[in-house]
Amino acid sequence: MDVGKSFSYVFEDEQWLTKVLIGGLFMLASVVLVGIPFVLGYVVETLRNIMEGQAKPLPEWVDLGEKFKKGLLLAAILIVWGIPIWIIACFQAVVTTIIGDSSSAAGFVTAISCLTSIISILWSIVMALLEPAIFTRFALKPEFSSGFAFEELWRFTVDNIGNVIIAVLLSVVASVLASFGVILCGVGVFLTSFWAYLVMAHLFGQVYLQRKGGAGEELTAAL
Amino acid sequence: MVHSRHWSARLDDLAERAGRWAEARWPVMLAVAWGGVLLLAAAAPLARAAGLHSLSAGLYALFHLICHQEPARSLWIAGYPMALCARDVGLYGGLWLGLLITLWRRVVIPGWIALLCVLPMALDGGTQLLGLRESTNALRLITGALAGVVAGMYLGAKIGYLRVSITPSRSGGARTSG
Repeated sequence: MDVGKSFSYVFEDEQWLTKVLIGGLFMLASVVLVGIPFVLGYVVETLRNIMEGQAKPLPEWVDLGEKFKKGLLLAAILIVWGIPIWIIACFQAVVTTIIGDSSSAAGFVTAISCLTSIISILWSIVMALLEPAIFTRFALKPEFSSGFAFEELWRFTVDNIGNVIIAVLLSVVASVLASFGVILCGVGVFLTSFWAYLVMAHLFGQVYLQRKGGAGEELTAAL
Repeated sequence: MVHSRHWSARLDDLAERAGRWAEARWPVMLAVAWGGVLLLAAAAPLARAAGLHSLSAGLYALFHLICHQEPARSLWIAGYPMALCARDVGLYGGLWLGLLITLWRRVVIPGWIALLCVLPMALDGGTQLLGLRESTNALRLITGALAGVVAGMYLGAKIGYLRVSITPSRSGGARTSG
């Protein structure tokens, strides 16, 4: 994988500053949730362009309804995938509330907390590893059902596990780097966070372009 | 299986309709969102003054992710500092105003003018960051607002159906087209 390209391709676009600044505006609107679908939709379109091998994959900020639609569906998919974590958190909260004050049950509460935390972390790791498959499949076929073709998602992830792990870890690195944007009067974090999303899109796109196994062929058929 | 496919198709249809709705209304959505950000920043001190400490703490924590929240560099409401500093209030308020102006009149701001209007904020914030001087809240607010208004107008005219392109006219001047 061309890691350097993932971190730098944004700046190769002649209009990168304007596109990133506008992305930052939508990131700001994400504080009150409104901007999230637009940002996710833009990321999906960028990913699609990367998967098609376009040299300048950053799309224009046009057709915002289309971006909103795609982002909304992808957000819904990610929320559904996150439901197990919510259920575990609710279970932990209920257990802690019911028997939390009893000193005799302190050990039990601690054990439950540890167990639920471990399950949450494991589920988060599974989700993170499946994300390249979910994102690429959705970019090719932007429908709600694309996020739940379990067999194909699993096969794509397993067949390309090496690149998937690299892509997910580097996406985390990009997010950590993005957090330093806060030193630019605070507002900088919106721009750097948007850039981190675009880095993630490129990494996932590379996983798709270098895919192995049969799952890739099925995904290509959707093109 | 057939039932679940029907269910997901309905969700796709719902998203399609939401997309069509958003296509025409995204500027209003953005304006409401940015206005909401400012209102929440103002709600934090009001909630603290009203004794709603959990709500207030949550709002301060949320905005701490994007702002240093130094009390001396913030505007105060009801005896407590806002959850955003004076510069950010000016900047976000300016963006909001700039977008509204773009909706009302599609004014094309050249890039160099936009850059020039961001310069006072950069100078004010930069010299303060380097410890050369200490700014005032009025200056933070004004320079932030100037940068915000112009950035809102400049960027607003490059998004979606508000996109305005400059095409040379026969007389040699420039005219705008949507």
